[in-house]
This record gives sequence, C-alpha cells and structure tokens, in this order.
Amino acid sequence: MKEIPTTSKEQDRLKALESYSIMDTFPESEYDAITQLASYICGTPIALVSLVDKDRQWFKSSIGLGVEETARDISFCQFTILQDEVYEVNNALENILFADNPLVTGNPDIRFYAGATLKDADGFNLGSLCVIDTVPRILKEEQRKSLKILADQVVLLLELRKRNVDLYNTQKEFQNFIELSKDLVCIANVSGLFHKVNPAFTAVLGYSKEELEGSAFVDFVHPDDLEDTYKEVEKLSLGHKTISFENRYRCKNGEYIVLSWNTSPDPATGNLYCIARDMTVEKQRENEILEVTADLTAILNASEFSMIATELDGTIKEFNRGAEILLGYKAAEVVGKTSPAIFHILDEVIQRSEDLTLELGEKVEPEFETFVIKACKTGLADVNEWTYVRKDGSIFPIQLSVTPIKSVLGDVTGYLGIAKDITKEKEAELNLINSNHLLDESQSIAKTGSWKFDLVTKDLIWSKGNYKIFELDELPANKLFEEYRKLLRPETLTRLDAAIAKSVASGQNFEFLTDIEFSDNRVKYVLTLGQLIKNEFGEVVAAQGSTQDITEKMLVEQNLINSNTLLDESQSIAKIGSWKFDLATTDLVWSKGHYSIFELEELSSDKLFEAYRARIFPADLQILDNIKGDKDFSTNYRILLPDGRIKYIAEIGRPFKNEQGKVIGLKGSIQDITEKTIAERKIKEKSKEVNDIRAALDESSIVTVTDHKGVITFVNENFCSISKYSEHELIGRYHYVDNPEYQLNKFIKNIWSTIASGNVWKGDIKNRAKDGSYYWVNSTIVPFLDNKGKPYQYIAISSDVTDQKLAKENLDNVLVDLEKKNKELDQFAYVVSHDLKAPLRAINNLSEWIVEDMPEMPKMVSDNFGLLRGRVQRMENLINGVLDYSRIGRTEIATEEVNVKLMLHQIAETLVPKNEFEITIAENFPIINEANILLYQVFSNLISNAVKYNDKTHGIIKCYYDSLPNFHQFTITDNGPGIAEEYHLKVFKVFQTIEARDKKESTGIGLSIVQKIIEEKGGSIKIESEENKGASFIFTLPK
Amino acid sequence: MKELKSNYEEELNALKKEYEEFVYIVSHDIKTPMRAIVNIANWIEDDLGSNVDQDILDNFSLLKNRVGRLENMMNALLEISRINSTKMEVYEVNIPKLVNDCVEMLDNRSNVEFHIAYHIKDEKCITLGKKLEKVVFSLLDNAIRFHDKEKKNVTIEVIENDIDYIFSISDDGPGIPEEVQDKIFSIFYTVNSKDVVDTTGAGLTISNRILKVVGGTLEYAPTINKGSLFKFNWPKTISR
Repeated sequence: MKEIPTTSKEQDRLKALESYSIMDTFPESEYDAITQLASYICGTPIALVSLVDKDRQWFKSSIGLGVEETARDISFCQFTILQDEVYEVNNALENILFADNPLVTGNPDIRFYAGATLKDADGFNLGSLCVIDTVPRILKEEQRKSLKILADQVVLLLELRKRNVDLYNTQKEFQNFIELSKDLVCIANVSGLFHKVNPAFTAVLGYSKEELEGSAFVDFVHPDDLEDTYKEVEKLSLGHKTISFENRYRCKNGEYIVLSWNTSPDPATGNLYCIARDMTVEKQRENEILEVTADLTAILNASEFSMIATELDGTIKEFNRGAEILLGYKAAEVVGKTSPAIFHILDEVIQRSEDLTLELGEKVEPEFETFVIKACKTGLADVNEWTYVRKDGSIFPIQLSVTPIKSVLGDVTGYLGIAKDITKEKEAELNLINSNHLLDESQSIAKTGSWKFDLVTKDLIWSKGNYKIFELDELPANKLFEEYRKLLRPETLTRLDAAIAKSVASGQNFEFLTDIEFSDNRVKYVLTLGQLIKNEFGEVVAAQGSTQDITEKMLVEQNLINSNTLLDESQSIAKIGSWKFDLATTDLVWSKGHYSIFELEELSSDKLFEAYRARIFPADLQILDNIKGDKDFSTNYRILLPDGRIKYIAEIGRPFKNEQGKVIGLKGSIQDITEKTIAERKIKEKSKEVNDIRAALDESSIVTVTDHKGVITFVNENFCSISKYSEHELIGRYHYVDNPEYQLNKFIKNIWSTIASGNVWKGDIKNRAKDGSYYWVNSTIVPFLDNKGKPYQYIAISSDVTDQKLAKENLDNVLVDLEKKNKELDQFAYVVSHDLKAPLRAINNLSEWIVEDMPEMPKMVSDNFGLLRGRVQRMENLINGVLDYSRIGRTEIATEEVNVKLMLHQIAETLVPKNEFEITIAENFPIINEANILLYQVFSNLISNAVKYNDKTHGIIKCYYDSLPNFHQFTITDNGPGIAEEYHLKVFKVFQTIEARDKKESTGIGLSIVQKIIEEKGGSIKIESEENKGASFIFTLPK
Repeated sequence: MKELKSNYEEELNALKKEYEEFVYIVSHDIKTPMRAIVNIANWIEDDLGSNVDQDILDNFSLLKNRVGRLENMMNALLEISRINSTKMEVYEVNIPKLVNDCVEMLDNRSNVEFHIAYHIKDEKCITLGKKLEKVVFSLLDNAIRFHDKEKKNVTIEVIENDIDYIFSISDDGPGIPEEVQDKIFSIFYTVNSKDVVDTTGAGLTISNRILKVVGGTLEYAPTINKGSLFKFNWPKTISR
C-alpha cells in the first residue's frame, strides 16, 4: 500500500467529516441531481460525490460507476483534498502518480479525472465532486468553474444536513431533560387545557399522561384556590409571567398537594409554558419549624424557667418573667445593674471555683467567671446544681444551664443562664433515699430488731425483734434503757457511750458491735446500727436504728480462722528445708528441716558444704556442678545415706546480691520427694505394665469396654473385625442392644446382675454381627470398681468360639439325625416283619383248614400243602432272620450249630434251576457254630449271583471247603463271564454292578452285605477270576 | 471335636446303608421262598380242580388272596429298594399329558368325575418322568380306591411357581381320621383292615420316598368337606 499523503490537520479533518454523520447513508436525490449535472456539464460518463475517510473514499452519489467506495490509497480524490482548486488529470497513463493505478490499468480504465474540493465552513476538505472519463481530455474553463460551483452546492447540502442533525440532538436533549425532570413541566394551550405534560406529572400526581393531556388544568385545582388561580391566569393572558404561585392540586388518590408554579406565556401562540414543583415536603418542614418555634416561645415564656442573659462581664441584659417569679426581683431592678452573683451563696461559688481550678488546671476566681468558664471553654451548655437566694433571703435548689451566646460570626457576645427550681425533685430524691432505707431494713434477715431512743427523756422503745435478741420481757419505755445497760459489761458500756458521743458530734450514723453474755454463759454477738434524729433547730434529740444478732455469722468466721491456722500448721509439717550459701566463703547454712532431711548432725557453716557434697549420690554430683549460680534454678537429685538408703530431693535456689548488685550467694529450699518419686515411678511402671498387658490383650483377644450403663466406650480391632462394625459405629452404643435375642432377656439380666454387683462374669455369648450373621464368643466381663465399690466401667475380654460352637451344633445335628434314623429303621423293620407275617400266618392257617376239611384229599395235593407250609415256615424264619440281621451291631444274633452241607443243598434246591445248571457240593463241609441266617445269606447271595450272571447254556457251580489252621475256607466257583481284575475290589461296594442294571436285575447291594457279614465275623472274602474264565469267591470264617 | 463328628457321620452313613441293606434283603432273599409259595399254590389249585366243597374253594381263594397280597407287599418293598436305582431317566414331560396318562391308567374310574385345573406357564418340564408319574398315579389311585361313595369327585390342580410345580390332588371321599394322619406314610399302613380295601399300604410310602429323592415334600390336609387333599411340590430342578 502506498503511503497516503495527508496534511497536518488530517485528524481534525476526519473529526469534521464524522460530525456530518453522512458516511454510509442512503443515496439522496439532491446529491444525485448535482452529480448528474456535473456529468452533463463536463461531458464525462462518470461523476461522483466522494468523501475521503481515513482509509477509503465513499461515494455519497455516483453516476456511471457501479461501486460505493474504493480504497483511499488508490483514489484520485486523496490528492484533490490536499489543495483547494479543481484537481485535473488529463491522461492518467502519462501521469507518474496514476500510471500504474489499478483503476487506470484495469476497470474502470480511468484516463481523465477532474475533482473540485468540498471545503466546509471550517476549512476542512471533506472530499470532492469529481468527473471521470475513460479517454484523455481537458476541461474548459467554464466547465471547471461549474464544477467548483456545484461542489459548493454539495457543501451547502452537507452543512444543511449537519444543522438538521444538531437541531434534532438539541431537541432530543431538551426532551430528555424534560422527561427526567422531577419538576412538573407542561404546556397548556389557549383554552386552558393541558397540551403536553412530562412524566413527573404522573409520578407526582398519579394521573397518566393520557388522563391529563386534553383536560382543563383548573379541573385539578383545590376549590378554595380556584379564585386565586383564575386571577393568576388572567395576569398571564396579559403577558405577565407567574413566579412561585402556589395552589393545591388534587392527586389521583384524592389527596391534595401544594404546587409552586412558574409560568410564562408565549405571546405568539397564547400557549403557557409551566413548571411546577411539589411543595408538600417543604410545606411540611415549614409547618414543623413553625411548631418548634411556637414551642420554644412557650418555653421561654414559661414561669418555671428563669432566664437571665448577661453581657460578657456578667451584667444582666435580660431577666425574664420566670426569673422575676423565682427570684422575687423585678427585671428593672437587676438589668444593667448587677451580675447574677447576687442570687448565689458565696460558699458555693468558692467551692465551685476551687473544684474548677482543680478540674481545668488553671486558677479560677470565685467570681462571674466561675459560672461561665466551662460553657465558654467547651462552647456547650454547662449544667450544674446551685442554690438560689431569693430577694427575701430564702433559698431553694436549682439546676442552672449556662450557654454562651454567639454572634453570627461565632464570637461570644454574652451568656444565657436558664435555671429551674428543683426543690420538688430534691424532695423526691430524699424520699427515695428514705424509702430505700426502709426497704433495706425490711429486707434484712431474721434476727433483727429496731429501736428508738429519746436522748432527752432517755425513753427507749424496742420492737419485738429487739426484745427477742436481748432475751428481755417487754418493759415500759422509761425503764428499758436502764435494763438494757445492765446487760452490757462495763467496758462495753464505755465503748457504747463513746460511739454515741462520736456520732452526735459528727452527725454520722453509728455502728456498734457487742457481745452479750447471758446467765447461762451463752454469748451473743449483736450489731447495733443507729441514726441520729434532729429537731427543726438542727439539734440532735433522738436516735433510732436496728440491731442484728450476728452470732452465727461470727461463729462461721471464727471457724474459718481456725481452719486456716490448721492449714498453716499442716503446711509446716511438709518435709521442707531451706539453705543459704555464701559464694565467697563457701559457707553453707541450713535450717533444721534441711538437717533432718539429710539426716546430719548440725555442723558449722564452713564444714557443712563438704558434708553436703559427701551426701550427694555420686552420679548426681554432676547435676549440681552444672548449676549456674547466676540465676534461679530448680533441680532434682538423689542423696545416699550411710545405711544405703536413697532419698530424692527437689531443690530450688536463687542468687542474692549485695548492695552493689553483685551476686554474693545463693539461697533456696529443698524438699524430700522420695515418697513422691517412688510412688510416681511405681505408677509409671504399673501403667507400663498395664499398657503392655492391654496391648497383649488387644492383640490376642476381643476387648470391649463399657461405662456403668453398658454404653461402649472402647472396642479393639478384633471386636470390630468379628462384629463387622466400625469403631465409630460402636462407640456410644449399648452393648447387645442390637441383639434382639438378648435384649432384656434373662440371660443378659443375669450377666448384668452379676457384674453390676461387682462380680466377674464368664460364659459364652451369642452375638449378632452387622451383616446379621451370628458369632459366639467366650467372654470374661470384669467390672472395674470405684473407691465406693461401685462399678464405673466394665471390660469384656472375649475369644471367638464360633467355630467350636458351630462344630458342636453340627455334631448335635448329626446326633439327632443318627437317632432319628436309628428309630426309623427300627420302626421300618418292625412294620415290615409284622405286616409280612400277617398274610403268611393266614396262608399257613388256611392251608391247615383246607387239609382238615378235606380228609379224602389226593396224596399229591396234601403233599403240596405240606410243601407249602414248609415254605411258609422257612419264609417266616427268614423274615425273623433278616429282622435280626438288621440289628447287627445292636443286637447279637445267637449262634447255633449249622450243617453247612445241608444248608447248601437247600439253597441249591430253591435257587438253582436244575435243568440249566450243574451244582457240585463237596462232601467235607463241616458242621460249624455260626449264626444260621447270616451264613444262609452269604451262601444264597453268592450262589444266586453265580446263577444270575451266568452266560453259558450249561452253568456249572462248585462248592468247596478247606480247613485252614484257624479258619474255615469256603469256595464257590462258577463258569460265568468272570470278573476283570480291576473290579475285584469294587464289586463289594454298595450299588456296584458290573453290567448295566436293566440287563440284569440287581441293585448291587448283595456282595456288600456278604462282605460285611464275613468281616464282622472276623473273616475275609476275595475273588479269583479272569475274564471269560469264570470266577471263584473264596471266603474264610474263624474257627 | 472334628473326629467325633466324623465318627458320628460315619455311623449315620452306616445306618443309612443298613436301611438299604435291610430293604434289599427283605425284598430279594425272601423273594425266593415267596416264589415257591406262589408256585405251590398254583399247583394245588390245578390239582384240586373245581369239584370240591364251596367252603374249601372259598378258603382256598382266600389263601390265594393272601399269597397275592404277600407278593404285592414284597414287590412294594422291592420297589422301595429300587427307588434310588431304577427309572432315573430324565426326559421332557408334558405335565397335562402325564396327568391324563395317569387318569387313563386308573382302574374303576367309571363313576369318577375329574376336575383338572392348570395354572402353569410351561407345560413342559425336563424331569424324572417315571417317578412323577408314579407319585401322581399313586395319589389318584388312592383317591379312588379308598373312596366310599357311589359318585366320586377328584380334583387335580397344578400350579407353577419359580422353582416348583405344586400338585394338589383332592377327593370328596372319607378323608383320614385325625389320630392316624401321622401314620399314613408308614409302609404297609392302611387306615382300615386290608380286608376292607385290598391294598398293600405302600403307595404313600413310595411316593413320599420319591419326593425325598427329588427334594420335594408330600403333605396331607383334610379338605373342607372332610375329603383328602394331598399336596406336593415337584422341584423343577432335581437336587441330587
């Protein structure tokens, strides 16, 4: 950007341009007409009114150019405004200033430019009226002139515009001023109607603008003020102004306010320009002042007040009515003739002057100065009580207030004294004092009495209380005094008379304490208070007063004194000694107490120091050597006595100085603190021990501490972790209160009654943790007793026994289960056997009956019946047997001789199908002593297994017997599928079958029973088998 | 303490085992002579023919009846011993269908009116079908078998909740006297003599044991009209 050439007034020029408020306004036809004309006159396609702003030129009007503004640095007009004439560029391409200007080299291809400066009244060149062409040309002289004229026209338009703006602003300001005015401003027209009103009308009167405008302003005037108002309006119509005319205006709320009007008529229009001010407040203030003034006048004229004004020297200037009445002088007698001093008592004035001398620190003469000096110095009213003397010499108390009178310039020109008779007040004050005395009397506690004594007649009158104190019967007044004196001892009487005499002489009240001894040796202390009574001549004629029996009070005081003495004595018993040491001579002096503590015989002072050091515990000598002798010290050390005892000593000392201030020695005291130290050490040791124990307990046990009410005051971490509560949740709560199982139940009551009576409680407690789970603790609760034997806290030390308790509970459950099952089994066995036997017996009976009923029964049938009964019999035996078996372990089954071979044959007969199996039973089977049923079960199970699992068309079963040294050995062999070795042990487990259950019906329980029976008998069973090669079951029974 | 506990547990287990053994022995070992008795009775019947006195025939039929009863009781014991070991297949059961099948299987249902109500979300349940069928059948069978009136009403209600199917089977029969209500689950127990109503008295015992196996409970309560109400909950998941 090229630098823009400017003049030194550029800033002012820009301000001037701004003041026209023309920039960026809409096009206006007046300006357009001028540019049109310029274009026409100069024959150029383009004409502009260009206003040159800081960085741009803006076209108020433009012809033939489509833009509103261009940058100032490429403008032609920037040069135009630097001079005052028409600036002309004939061919821009030939001008070095513009040859490379983009407006020349590009659109709009300017070649020719001519601009006339727009110079305003203040001489600022605001811009230019310019014409532009795309071809070079030269303006004719007429054209140049025309352009200049037209430019002036543009300036005129601008000036006009500016004036309009100024007017508008002024009006606006004025409007604002009116709007904001607190005064009521209005224009009323010729017909007496409000034409315009400002907002203050609304604010003050309460009417809206609309309500007022168009209304007659007299409509609001108070009827009483109408006449005056009309007069004033008439004056206005004659062209006079109205100034401060007041009338009352009605507000919207019905009240009237006072308005003060300034109005001027416009002679041209007849309009009235009015300003009114609300005078209500001013009026009120004025009224107040009036009232105050009236009050003041009333006061001034009131007769109770004496007012005396004086000159500076005290000469009375004014003497009001009140002063005349109070003092008995006429104003004429005193004004200009005397100072107020004549109304005063000289003594009072002297006294006051002396007081003031002291107070102010400068000599005050007992003259007029005494009355005014303070008021003069402070500039304030000085109030004092004085006594005034009337003309007739009588006196009365007054209160005098003195004020300096000042001129307008602040100079004191005189004094004003205002006095008020305070006789009545004084009387009242006195009365008050008297009634207070009365009150005091009546308030005094019992054992008081009152008395009155006539000094002239010696008559003494006592109240009943008084008789009671002195323990006399009522007596006539003339005899009582004598009787009273008889009670007192001679020396007491002397004191009494002296006291009375002193009181009479001084006019003071008297106080007299005496002790009275009664015939029975009792002593009473009696305090007598008395007051003198004067007659009208001021002579003491009588005394009255009160008496009080203060014996008890005295006794209490005596006791107090006694106990203090006792305290002193007991303090002296303490093991304390004192010493004094001379630094120069090392002389040491001890008190007796010191010697007795150190257990030394008294020694001369020059030898004592050595002896002292010899007593010190050797290791503690260092302590003493470290003491600095120049200031107070306090130390502890030990002494070692010859018999090896050790004492602990506390010593304090301080240096003392000679007259020159030099330290010459030390003195101090010692105390035997052996007992204290040992006790302290023991306490320390004990507390450490206790802490250790406590720490150990904390570590190992659950510890809780409660106060005497059971409120938890301490819990250790173990308790928190077992109860799952945090410490802060527990502290302050009642132990067990959250445990419904224990709340107030017998168990807890029992604990409490045990521990509350001071005994230790031990036992298991079931507690509930925060999460609702229960836990058991084995607790020992120890009550801690205070010195009265009452528990002040309880400590519970517990250990977690939940696991044990649960285990026990489980065990109990198992035991219960066990018992139940046992019973169940018994019952089941019984029911089964019983119920199974019933039909068996029926079958047996029926078959017998049938045989009996049929004598001619065929042999075959009767044989079958026999067979049937045999089976029934066997079955019954079996049932009994298994019943018995079911009780193995609980009931022993009786053994009997069993023919094993026979048994095997029976089993084979019932279990082994004859046409499919071949069974061989060895001949050597013995007869053994065994439980028949059990053996039967063993064999029948083994043989039935051999039959059941046999997979061959021709099954072979063989039974052998071997006699071993201590055992019978039995072997049952089959040719079945055999048992793989891995199953040899498994088959004896309950419910183990090798093949699937649905293939062969078997619960797998048989072999386990067999094993159980054999093992219970003390034998064993094993299998010898290979798969597909049959199996041998071999078992032994002890012989 | 622990040792003691495990000793007791061992003992308890032994006892349980003993119980199983007992039932096994009774049902298996005594079965052999039982079979013999049945066979011999049959032979005698064949040999006797029909030309004998009516008295004898009556007695013999009585005998046969007792033999039959004994056999039934033995079979019941056998069934009890097998509750834990047979028919343990878990498969999907349609409950209404299962109930209907049970009703179809019942004898003597000519005079019975069945009132069946289901309050179930899921008719299908994967469970021990045969066992459930056995229980339902036993209870229905009892309801009709012990009924004392000509016209019989049996109500079956099944309610499903989150964990169970609750079966209620009630009748308007004679009910069970209060004093024997605690005995009805004992094996072979019958309220009246077995001669009045021919039964082994093992149905409820078996049902009860089945429910113990699956983790449910069987309860009896009298109905308002003094009939019987048997109610049991059948867990959706069998706890084993």
